[in-house]
Amino acid sequence: MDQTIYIVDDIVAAPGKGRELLELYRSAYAPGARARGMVLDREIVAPPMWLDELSNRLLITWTVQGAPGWWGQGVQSRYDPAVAEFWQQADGLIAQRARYFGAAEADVEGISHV
Amino acid sequence: MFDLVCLIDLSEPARAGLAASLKALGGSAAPVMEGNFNGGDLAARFSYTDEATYRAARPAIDAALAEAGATRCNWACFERGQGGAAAPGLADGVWRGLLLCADRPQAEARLDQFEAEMVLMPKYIPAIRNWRFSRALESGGDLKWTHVWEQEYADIGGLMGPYMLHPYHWALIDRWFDPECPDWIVNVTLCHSFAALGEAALS
Repeated sequence: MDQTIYIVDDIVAAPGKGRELLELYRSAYAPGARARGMVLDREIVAPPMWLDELSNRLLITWTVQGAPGWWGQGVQSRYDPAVAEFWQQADGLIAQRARYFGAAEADVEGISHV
Repeated sequence: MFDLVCLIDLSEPARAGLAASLKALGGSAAPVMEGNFNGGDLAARFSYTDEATYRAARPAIDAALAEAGATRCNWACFERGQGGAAAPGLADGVWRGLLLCADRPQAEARLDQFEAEMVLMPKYIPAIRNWRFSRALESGGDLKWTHVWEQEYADIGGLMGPYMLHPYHWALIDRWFDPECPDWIVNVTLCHSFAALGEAALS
């Protein structure tokens, strides 16, 4: 059985733009992500209040099942112009971002010995 | 050493004849296997002692492609880059060639890190038996290819299994190829080709 893979968007919003960014992410990105097989795990807002002058950090975590699930979403997204369009649209609301792919520590051995 | 990789599109009836012609010119050539992505119909590679020898040989290769009615050729020539051979002389395996174009705006600034991470793939993915990662000197076809990433596997299972499933590939290296990742530098148009060349290509 495939292990759960976590796709983590770690996004620092432009000052005062945290809520707007999350709303855009939910409306313009999340539906397509779900269609590519990604399952929303959680959305964390830090600090847990909306800031006006400073940046909120959004940690949005998705899951897929195993490397096949990961490739399934990855191959679809890179040839979907709507995905590129979303990130371009969001660019003005983002100060900095990273995307990580990981798994629970208990799954590391199984995932890395293929 | 100086090498040339060609991924050629041409009609099915013409493939065997062109493969024979290219072998007669000193190359190795074989039909591209199912599952490739933009990988052509026939894969061919040539090795020369130096660039001058390649220059002298190239017109005959182009003439053979034209005579066979090739409709497209994605190609790159290059001085050999970093490589390794865990299975020297592997002749009955599967050769895989990836032509990539690192042409995104931040590519130049990130190229050293990208290349350093790429050449660690065989350390973490031992199914890659022999390998070479080279910067293209000249290239043509769909894009101006900047790099040639070649590997040899004992069989197709090594490519389809460990290479594709290992997290060093999809959770680390692929971010350079993924427009959703901030580190993205490689054009999404690629040539992913593999063939049983029937001879040791990388050792």
